[in-house]
Amino acid sequence: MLKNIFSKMYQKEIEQISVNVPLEQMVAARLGFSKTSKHFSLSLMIQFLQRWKRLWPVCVFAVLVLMVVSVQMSYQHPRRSLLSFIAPKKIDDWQYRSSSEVDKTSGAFISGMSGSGSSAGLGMGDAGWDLFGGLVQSESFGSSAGLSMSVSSDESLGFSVGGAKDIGSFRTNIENGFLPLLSSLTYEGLFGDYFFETGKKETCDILFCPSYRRAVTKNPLTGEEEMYVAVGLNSGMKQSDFARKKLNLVIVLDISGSMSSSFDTYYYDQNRQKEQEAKKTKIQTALASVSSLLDHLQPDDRLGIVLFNDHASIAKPLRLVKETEMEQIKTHLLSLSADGGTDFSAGLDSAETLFMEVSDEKDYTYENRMIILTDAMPNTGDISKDGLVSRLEKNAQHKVYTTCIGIGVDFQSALVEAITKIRGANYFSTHTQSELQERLDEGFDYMVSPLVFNLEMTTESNGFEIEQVYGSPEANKSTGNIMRIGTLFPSATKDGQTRGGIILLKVRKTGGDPHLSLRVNYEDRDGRTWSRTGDISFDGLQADMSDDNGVRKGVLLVRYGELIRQWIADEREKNETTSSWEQTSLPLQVSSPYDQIFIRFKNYFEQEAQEIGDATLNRERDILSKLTTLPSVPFFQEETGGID
Amino acid sequence: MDVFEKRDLFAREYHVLFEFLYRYVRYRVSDRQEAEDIVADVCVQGYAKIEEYDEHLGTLRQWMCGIVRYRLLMYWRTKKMSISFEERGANSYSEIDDLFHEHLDHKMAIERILERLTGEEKALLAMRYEDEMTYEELAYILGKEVSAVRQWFSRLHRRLRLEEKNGEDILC
Repeated sequence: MLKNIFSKMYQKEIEQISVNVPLEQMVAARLGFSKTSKHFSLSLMIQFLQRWKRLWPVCVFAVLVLMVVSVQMSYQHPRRSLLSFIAPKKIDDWQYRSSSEVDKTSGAFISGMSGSGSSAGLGMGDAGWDLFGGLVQSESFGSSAGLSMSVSSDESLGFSVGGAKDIGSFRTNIENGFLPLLSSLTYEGLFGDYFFETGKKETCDILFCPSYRRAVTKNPLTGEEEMYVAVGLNSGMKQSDFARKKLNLVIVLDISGSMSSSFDTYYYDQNRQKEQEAKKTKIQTALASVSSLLDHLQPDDRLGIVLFNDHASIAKPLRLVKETEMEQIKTHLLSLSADGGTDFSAGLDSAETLFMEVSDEKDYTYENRMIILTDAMPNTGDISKDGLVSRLEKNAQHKVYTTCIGIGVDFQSALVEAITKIRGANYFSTHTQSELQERLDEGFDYMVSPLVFNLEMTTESNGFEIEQVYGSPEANKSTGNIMRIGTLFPSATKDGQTRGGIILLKVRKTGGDPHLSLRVNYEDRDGRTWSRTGDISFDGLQADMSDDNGVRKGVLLVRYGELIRQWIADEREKNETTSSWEQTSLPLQVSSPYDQIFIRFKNYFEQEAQEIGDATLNRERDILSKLTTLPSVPFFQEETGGID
Repeated sequence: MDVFEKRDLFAREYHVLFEFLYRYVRYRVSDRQEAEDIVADVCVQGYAKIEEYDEHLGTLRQWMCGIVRYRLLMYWRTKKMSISFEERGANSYSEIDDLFHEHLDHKMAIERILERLTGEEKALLAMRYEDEMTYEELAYILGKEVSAVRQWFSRLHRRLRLEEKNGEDILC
């Protein structure tokens, strides 16, 4: 009896305990549940409806009253929506004024809005509107152009490594007849331009589950037999499971003088004035890119904007997107002009200041990222690579990560290559505005969400050791039996293939044991460590055999990359530039014996590409074709050549 | 159900789970701050270990209930209840139970008496009658002899009987 009576009392009293809602929300935030997530909102709504059934008539009445009021208001204030009376007013918090705007202010004329002001040097009055038109257009074809893909939400996600996500700068230079920088062609960037079979066969239900495929193949240039292992970067996570955290995003935009030059010419070339005519400038491309970025933000994200040339300004403080008049911000951006020096470090100072304002929340509820749009040619302030890199490393320790978007044909990829080896960093180069737009449509959320850190792969074998690692910015940190990778980002998949979804190990035979054991250790974003083991055997694998087209494509691209990189290195050795970051152009040229090597390699490339059956490889074939048709420079320093 | 589906389930049911856990713990731990610490800790721990949840063995709520009970066990091992065990009741449990059965028709009076119990006394009753803990388990939690716990319940029953009589006087 006591039990029965107590039970009734217990039920009554326990229902009367009021729940600490802020605590609930705090724990939810710690677990990464967004209040705006569909599950959380739905759950709250169902609870509310179940608990307050008796209030339904009141709710219906309230809705009716609201409808009547809205009709009345729409008559009285035809230009204002009802929401504008209820919701808090959005703020246009743009606070940057260019020197030309300041001049106009002193002339007793303030042009508060865009379009009418600051067109000096850029012709932005008209160009701005052209740019805007271009943006609208690119939105319309964003999902149908070359790099786009039909994504099934049930398809698993894959991973790709941090660092370079494409080789756009390399391609732009080749197309425009310039010799690219060596750093513009990285293996991870080259892989980032392609989708790969990753050899995922068994069901995977954890964050990261690598797979391994083998290839034994003869090098067409040296004739040596080489052995490769492709590490497939698979995940058990489905695309429909993935939801990025809310984002504190600070855009750091370079508005220095070099950004006013044409997208496809070198600012520091002597003849730049002539070539700039009627060409789209880098600042225009950068602004279009920023506008594309802004379209991918969610209401609960925060946005801040920093502009820098020879000094830095906080153009827009960090504020929730839902509280910001985003269209006005875009309009302000279109009115920017570019001049002055390039103090990269000042831009970082201002960006760090903005992140300090939200330091209380940045640990687990928000992802923190600064996106730097620049041609990366600093010439004032701290211009040392080590100085800039160490600052960004410090930021990464505080979970503020960096993305670089390189602008222009003279984009200094050497600096950015160093920056993006940092934990959580990546970089893209804008080959064309539409290509960047498509990459953002495909994976903006992935781009800002590093998920795997400090990946370390250890091999155990009496028969093999790692000779070379391809496809990781940290490849040089790998030794005979250890490979290290700083960061993995989620990557889009289509038809079972993942963009940039492999790392290629070239292995060397050191003994008779055909077996190779691989152990992977990594950290997730919460710092928890995981490990996974796998085994492969080269037993029975004959010469010129590959497990699948993924590893075969990887080997083909690595050989292509090795050859091109060797050629660039040798060509550049003959032409030293004077400044550390302010580069001048070198004409595209092919010295002997590379003219003959390219012809031989092109035949091999075409044959392999045909057998692999991937039409996107034609991009590299076209580059090889262009290089083979260039007039050969006869007197090359043959004693330094390392190939053939 | 893979780990992602389990996480998804946790996210879907989080609101209901949290409310359940909060009330469950709050009823059993009188100190609000400590109760909230336990709830937050249990939620975080549960989500971190969600991979271990087996849907074939019960609902997510039951699984979380197991975690919170274990957490409370740990809590009570380090935090003594301030219930006096010094006074010894004369009657055995069975005797008291018999006595109690004599008053089946006086539910109202008993409810009034129960409402006057302290928070910790109610927590103990909840553990006994809602969580169906044995006297041995309660003794383990409280760090007392089993006989002492039995006697405490006996004493409570006796008190209820006395209070009930007073209640009748008041009601009259």
